[in-house]
Amino acid sequence: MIRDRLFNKIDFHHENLKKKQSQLLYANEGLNKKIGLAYIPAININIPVDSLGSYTYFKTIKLNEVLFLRKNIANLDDKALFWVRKIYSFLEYRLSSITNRIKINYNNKKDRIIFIQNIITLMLEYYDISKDVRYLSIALKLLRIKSISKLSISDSSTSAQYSYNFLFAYSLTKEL
Amino acid sequence: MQKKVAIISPNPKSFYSTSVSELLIRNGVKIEVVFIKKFTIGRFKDEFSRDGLRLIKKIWKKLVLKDDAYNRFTEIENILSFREKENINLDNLTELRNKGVDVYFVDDLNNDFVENTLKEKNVDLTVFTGGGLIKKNILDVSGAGVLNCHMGKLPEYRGMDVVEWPLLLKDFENVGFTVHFMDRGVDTGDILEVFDVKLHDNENIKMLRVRFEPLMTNKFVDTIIGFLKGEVKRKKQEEIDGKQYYIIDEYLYRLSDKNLQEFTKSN
Repeated sequence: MIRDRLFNKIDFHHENLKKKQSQLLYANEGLNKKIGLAYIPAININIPVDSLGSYTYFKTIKLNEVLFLRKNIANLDDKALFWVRKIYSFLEYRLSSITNRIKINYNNKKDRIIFIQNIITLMLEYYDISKDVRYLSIALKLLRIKSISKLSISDSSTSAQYSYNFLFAYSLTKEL
Repeated sequence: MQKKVAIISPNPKSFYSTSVSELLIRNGVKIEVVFIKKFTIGRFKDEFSRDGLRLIKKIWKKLVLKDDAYNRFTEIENILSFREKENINLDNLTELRNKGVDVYFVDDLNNDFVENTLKEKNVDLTVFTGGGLIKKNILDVSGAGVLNCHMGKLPEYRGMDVVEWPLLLKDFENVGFTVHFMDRGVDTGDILEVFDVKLHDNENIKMLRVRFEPLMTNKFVDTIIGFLKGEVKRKKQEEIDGKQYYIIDEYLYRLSDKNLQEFTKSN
């Protein structure tokens, strides 16, 4: 495997995830086993979204919609696919300003981190299903942005979802 | 009747822009007007927000190192050796003023001045050698249109880093470049010609990109001449035929380089 400054502290992220796994909102047991996270059970919080409306702007989307897409990743209909593609395009197009842009979606930094990290998970899960490597690329680029991975400069504030994404991305890149 | 073109350029000393311009003149094409994008703080901010640190590397290579950027690549045909071989002497687009060509530095390639000047000049074609997006108002007053040479094979590989993406995907047969008309989409305009670039032994991405430059320069000019003579026809692209790619993540860049080196390793 090629060395990369992103994939440091693998053990740290396993420990962080084990400690904070109750913070995860959704995790697929089968996928967890496949990517070396068998210690994470199935997690499926109640998502108060039965179906998606029409995609309008990135700034109006909410965490529940992202979780809905993640939950249905294996069976996306045309409308849901459109959502995933539009989110992807927005992320690529606005990557350099994403830290500021998600402030429109969520005021609170903790909520923003949960939101964007679940979007990263969505990109990774879509790559896993579709093998469209562009989605892996955007996820990796986003994972490099430290300000959306943790609440403060301290490693101990690293979010559970970030550690999940880190280990998920690490597993996927090993397969390439 | 002599055909007239406009040139759009990001930098008056661009090896690519000056080489294309001189070769067109040698082939009997009249350059009516040249628009060069000014290097301003605003331009730097826009490009930095899109390209990040890559922009700093690009500026270092093109504006600081210049010829020295090719010191490590003397074993392969690069744009400097190509210029020497073809006896291309134009170093700065502003020298074209001595030949009666109007050369303008502009803040915005899509502004009213550019639009009105193109209308007045009534060119047969506009040749794009870099400088950013071109909008509809300019596309509409550029004769047959604005021609670009895209560093990837269309329709499959639209967008950015399209030398790297096929290598990442081990799609080694689809490394090449395309001469196409610009339209409002990203690399979706009518295609004139698609060219393959054959990979050489023991190649890496930096070497490959250096090799692309003279190949693109040469074939771009040939295709422009062919089009102006009516010998090359436009072919429509369907939007659904290709994917748009963006800047490749640095890990995937290194992987694409590794794939290329492994594929081209000679025994």
